[in-house]
Amino acid sequence: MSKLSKKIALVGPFGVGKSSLFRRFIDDAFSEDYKSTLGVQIQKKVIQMDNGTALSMILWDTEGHEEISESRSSYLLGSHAFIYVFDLTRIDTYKNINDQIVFLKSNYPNVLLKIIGNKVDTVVLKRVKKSLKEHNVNYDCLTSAKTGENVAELFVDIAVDLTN
Amino acid sequence: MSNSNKERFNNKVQLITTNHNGIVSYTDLNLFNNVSQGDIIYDLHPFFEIIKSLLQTYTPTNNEFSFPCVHLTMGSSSKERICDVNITIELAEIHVIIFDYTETYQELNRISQERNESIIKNQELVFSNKLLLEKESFKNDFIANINHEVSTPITSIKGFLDLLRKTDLSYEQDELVQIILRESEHLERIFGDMLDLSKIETGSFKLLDEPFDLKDLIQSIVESYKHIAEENALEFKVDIDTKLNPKMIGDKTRIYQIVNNLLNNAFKYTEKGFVKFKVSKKGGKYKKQIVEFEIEDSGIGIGEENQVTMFEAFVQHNDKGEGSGLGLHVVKSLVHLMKGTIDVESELGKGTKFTLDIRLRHDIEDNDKKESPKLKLKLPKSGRYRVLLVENKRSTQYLITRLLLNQGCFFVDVVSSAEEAIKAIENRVYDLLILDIKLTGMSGFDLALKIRKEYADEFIKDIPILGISAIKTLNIENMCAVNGIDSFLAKPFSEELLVGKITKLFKRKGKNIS
Repeated sequence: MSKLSKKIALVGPFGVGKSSLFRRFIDDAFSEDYKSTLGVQIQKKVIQMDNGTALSMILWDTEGHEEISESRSSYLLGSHAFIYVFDLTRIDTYKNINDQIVFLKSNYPNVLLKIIGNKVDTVVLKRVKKSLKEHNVNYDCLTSAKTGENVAELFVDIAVDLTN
Repeated sequence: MSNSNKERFNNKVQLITTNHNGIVSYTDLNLFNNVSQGDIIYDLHPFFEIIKSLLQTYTPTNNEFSFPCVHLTMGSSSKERICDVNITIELAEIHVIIFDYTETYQELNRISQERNESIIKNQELVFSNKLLLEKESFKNDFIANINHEVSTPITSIKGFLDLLRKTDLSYEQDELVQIILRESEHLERIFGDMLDLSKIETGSFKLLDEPFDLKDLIQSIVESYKHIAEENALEFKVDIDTKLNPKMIGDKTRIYQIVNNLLNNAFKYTEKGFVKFKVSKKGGKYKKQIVEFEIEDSGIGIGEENQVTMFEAFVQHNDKGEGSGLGLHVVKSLVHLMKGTIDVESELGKGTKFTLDIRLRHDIEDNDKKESPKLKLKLPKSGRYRVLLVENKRSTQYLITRLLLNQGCFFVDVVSSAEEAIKAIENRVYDLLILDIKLTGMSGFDLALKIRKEYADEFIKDIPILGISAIKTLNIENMCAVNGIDSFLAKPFSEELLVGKITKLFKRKGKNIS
């Protein structure tokens, strides 16, 4: 059985639910209380892939910044994937998202990037999709750390992409 | 460094040295005391997996890496520390220096938490507000649209019922037709209330400010309720103050709507006894006058607990469960718009009294003028007016045709589109064009403009045009005028209103009528 280790960094503005997604995936738990992340929290979860590979997903839950360029570069160093998270209930977290994506793609061209809209359980999807369209936001998936909607699927997708 | 400082420093820093395979060759135990020689550093905490990446990318000149503010625990029993970690990669060894800044970072975290919470709350409020505005706008568009869609069939239903009543009906049939007519009017009122409310809530509701005759208005209200009182065997007590100045300036239609709503309720909830309608001059100086309306009944009354909420939207306080629960809310909103007041006194089983004070202005100029004779809504019965009706709804085509033919003085040609209308007016002279504004294809506005601007033939370009529509936007009449439409009639309308509008239009245009 082969073993692989991949670093995945959760990035994006503060309060969008990066730590909640992290906690939902690692411990399958959720708390309503907002607790801001200072610096970086790191956890590991091993996923057994269909091809027999044991994939260690090393998740770096980084503190939130409105501009990704403000993030500490050492946190992003050596990443195999970025999960850029924005908050579906706060336009400010996605209105300039394309600038953040350009930054990530130009500075980390070989790193897998997934763009995630979180807190899907709290919004009227039709209206939010309209707003996302207005701001030209192309997302990969909409999640809810609270209900778990699409969270496991997101990490499994990333695992598959990283092992293929 | 003094011994005490050295001790303090040592308590905050831990050095771990490994080889390139991650095997620990040296460690002190200042912070994490469960680290031992021979341990694999990657197993101590997932953070150290980063060393594998660094080993692939470091160079002799780029071999020092700094990771501030990393949350570390080593082993299940160790407490979490927030540390800065420096990693230096040398040819044979890797040095990891961990600095514990937990206390400093925790203080920073408290400040950051407060700042973030405040910003997030603010951003969420902005977003919620935006969504609310969108919802409100959607609701108002929906109500305006549904109102338009409903007005057209109601016009047809009421018009055909009027026609039906003029045929030879048995007593029972006539009763049934009257019931349908009443229910249609009720439906019309509900939709009217919804539209009014939506406009009031968005602040787009505008009161008219035009001269009207208060006594005429009161008289028409009294007349319309006299027969209802008779039908229901109720005493209708009317008391009109003779000191009232008849010439006023205000919104006649909305005053009618308010009083009509209250009287309608009074009759609806009174099975025996009386309904009293009193109008008096309460006060006012110079050009202003406060007119007080009292509507009192001996009906079922309203309990004290319900009197507080009775003016709220969608609130009903009757066992009958009738009405939309909008009427009184609209009444109160209209009264407020007029800077007036409305009060209620009521006792269960004894009756209700509404007192309504409305501020109006005198139409002083008009007092000096002689009253103009009322327009007679009579058209000659010689069959000499040719009307082109441009309307795409078959039921409305039929209704208007029947209403006009009933007058005995119209020939009516009917087309369904502006394009057909153009062909018709180019081939025949018409005395009147009745034009639905919301046509499919070329709109009524576009057709009217084309007639006014593109034809030299005065029989075409000067043809009187009466616009009709269920659209009830505030400036519809202005839009009609701008587009060359002489007069406008809102759906639903009665035979009298239609004929009245045509008569006025003909007079204005100098058409020969009696």
